[in-house]
Amino acid sequence: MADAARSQITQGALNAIFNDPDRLQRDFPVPVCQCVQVKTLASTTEGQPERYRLVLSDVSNFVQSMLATQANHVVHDGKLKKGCFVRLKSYQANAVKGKKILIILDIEVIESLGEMEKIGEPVALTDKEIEEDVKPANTTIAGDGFYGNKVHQQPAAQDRPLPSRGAPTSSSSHATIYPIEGLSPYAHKWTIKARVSHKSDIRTWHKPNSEGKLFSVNLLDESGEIKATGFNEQCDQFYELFQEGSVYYISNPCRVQLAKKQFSNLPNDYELTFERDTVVEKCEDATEVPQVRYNFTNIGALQEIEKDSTIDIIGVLKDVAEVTQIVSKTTQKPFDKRELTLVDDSGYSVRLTIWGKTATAFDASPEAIVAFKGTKVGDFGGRSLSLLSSGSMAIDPDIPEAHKLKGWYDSQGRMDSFASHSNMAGAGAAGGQKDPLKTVAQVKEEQLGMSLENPDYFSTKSTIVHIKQETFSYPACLSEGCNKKVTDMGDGTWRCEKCDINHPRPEHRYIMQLNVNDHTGQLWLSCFDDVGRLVMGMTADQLMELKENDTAAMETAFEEANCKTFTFKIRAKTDSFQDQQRVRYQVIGANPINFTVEAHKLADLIKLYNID
Amino acid sequence: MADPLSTPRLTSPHLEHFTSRTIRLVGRVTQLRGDNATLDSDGAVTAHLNRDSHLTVGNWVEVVGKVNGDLSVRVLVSRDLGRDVDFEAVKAVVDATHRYKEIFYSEQ
Repeated sequence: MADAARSQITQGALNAIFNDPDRLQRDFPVPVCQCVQVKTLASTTEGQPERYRLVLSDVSNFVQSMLATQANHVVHDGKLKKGCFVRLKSYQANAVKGKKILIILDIEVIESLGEMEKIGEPVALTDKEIEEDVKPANTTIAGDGFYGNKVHQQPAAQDRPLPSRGAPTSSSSHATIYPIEGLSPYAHKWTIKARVSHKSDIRTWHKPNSEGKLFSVNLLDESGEIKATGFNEQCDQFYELFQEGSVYYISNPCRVQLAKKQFSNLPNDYELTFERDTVVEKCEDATEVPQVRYNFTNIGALQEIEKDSTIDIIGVLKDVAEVTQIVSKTTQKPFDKRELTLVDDSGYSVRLTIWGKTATAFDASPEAIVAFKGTKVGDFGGRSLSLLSSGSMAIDPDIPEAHKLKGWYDSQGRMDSFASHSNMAGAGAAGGQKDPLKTVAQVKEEQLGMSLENPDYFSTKSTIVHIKQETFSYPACLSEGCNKKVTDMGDGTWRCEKCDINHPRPEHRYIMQLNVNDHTGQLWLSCFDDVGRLVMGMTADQLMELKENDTAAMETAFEEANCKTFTFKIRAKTDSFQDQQRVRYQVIGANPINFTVEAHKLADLIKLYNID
Repeated sequence: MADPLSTPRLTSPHLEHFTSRTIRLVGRVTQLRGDNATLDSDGAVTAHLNRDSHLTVGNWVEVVGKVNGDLSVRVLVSRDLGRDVDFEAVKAVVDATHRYKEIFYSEQ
């Protein structure tokens, strides 16, 4: 009986699995082994099925195996027992710390053979070769033909869920290549194969409690991108090693942390930090790893994109400005910048600013296709773009979107005129998407200024019906550019805390409350010095003088100012004032009425009532 | 009998419907000849001026007057509006006046 079983066993199969893939294909398409041991591993966490550890023997060798949970049923059904014989229909060979482990994905018990004592004297498998670095014997992803993959394992690889976050499969070896998207702080052992799409310069920082240097790289593979940073020692250790455009294997130990979004433009929740023991190796075979991943947004769709978000964009270069230099107000450093105008087939155009070397060395000619990765959306002039330092630019890239744009531009785009996001309906000073014209009733209905987060901006044409005569101004610092309130020291001088100067007299600045009406309702607005002067027709100092010396003249002045109509630009926001939340309407600008424009507006409004 | 106080706003094409009524008209002075003037108000209008009207050629003017049978206007009062008038706005008002005439004047 044992002989019958023995003859069925594919002796030498185990050795072939691990050491001789070619022979395996030929001689042992379906290995048959004896299961000489079955052990249960209790599940470590709730909800996890138990795992079974087997020892399989093909008479020549034995090997430790793990039964994949999808095959657990053979044990549950009572079929797989110590001493029985099995056909390995689907499996994977792995190595953990130099020890061979066989992962069984699909197994069939040869019930006819029953159970027997261990046949033969199987010995442990020896290594055919020393494991090369971290290159795995099999891969769960990456292209075919990569390492002379065992072809019959490919379907197994695809059925198996990728060893991504949350799956503590003890079978994954440290040599399994993870997709970048699968990285998480919970992944125990991983290796990624990625291209450096961007390497930053070494930067140093000096803060009161810490200082040091760092550099970062953006890593890219088919699944996604992630940023990796090396600090201090790791900065020195790895800076020279990484080259932009090359592909590397990176394995843990290497910290996976939540991404600090303000320092990165990549859409990954996590980022990597190199540690002293992080393993980095250059990879020669870089074929499957993409060069740069783009995720383009149409220029027309920019309107919907929120300010400060990062996008990629591609367009036809319509206009190139000269390089200009601006000095940063905060750091006094000069910056080179250049403005480009891009258009695309959505019919819109947008201004994009490039900085530093990219600006000075820019030499693409108009009508070239340029693709940008990592641009920040701003709202200057409606919508504007700025290339981030971590972003990149490619002129006439060889990608399908670029060809499509070129074709469109050649055939029709050249002739088109383009809308820019700053063209908005609405004439006069009030026009513009930033501050739409509203009636008082609309302001209250739409609860402008009630949201706690952002102020709302709008314009309204209304008439002043009352000006608060008490406290219409405050004494302000005389120093140029400083408008801080100064305190009366009592001895004839006025002190400004910010400038630390005592002035002989203050400069009065308006801070007026105006009650304005339109045909739908009334609002209280507060306005500052610039609008105050416009309304009163004199400076606050002059008005204060009248107040002190000639009350009648002051009252006349207020009468004159009353009943004037303006188009006010207003910022509405909610303030907490003594436990109460109130909406404050602050005037940021006022324009006298342009009668022609207003007449047309009214005429249009009236026309809307027409039935014909 | 027209309600004594209203002066419906017109331009030249409307004149024929308002003969013997007192109306208000805005136009640009194209010609001055003694006591008569020619105004352009979306069409030519002959205005018979009175003692107080001092018009300037090229300026816009608003006249209140009575419409004669021959569609000329006998000016009762005139006001100079300067050179800068948006006639489109004027036309819009005239249009609104006649569309919603109940608001502005009563029928004869």
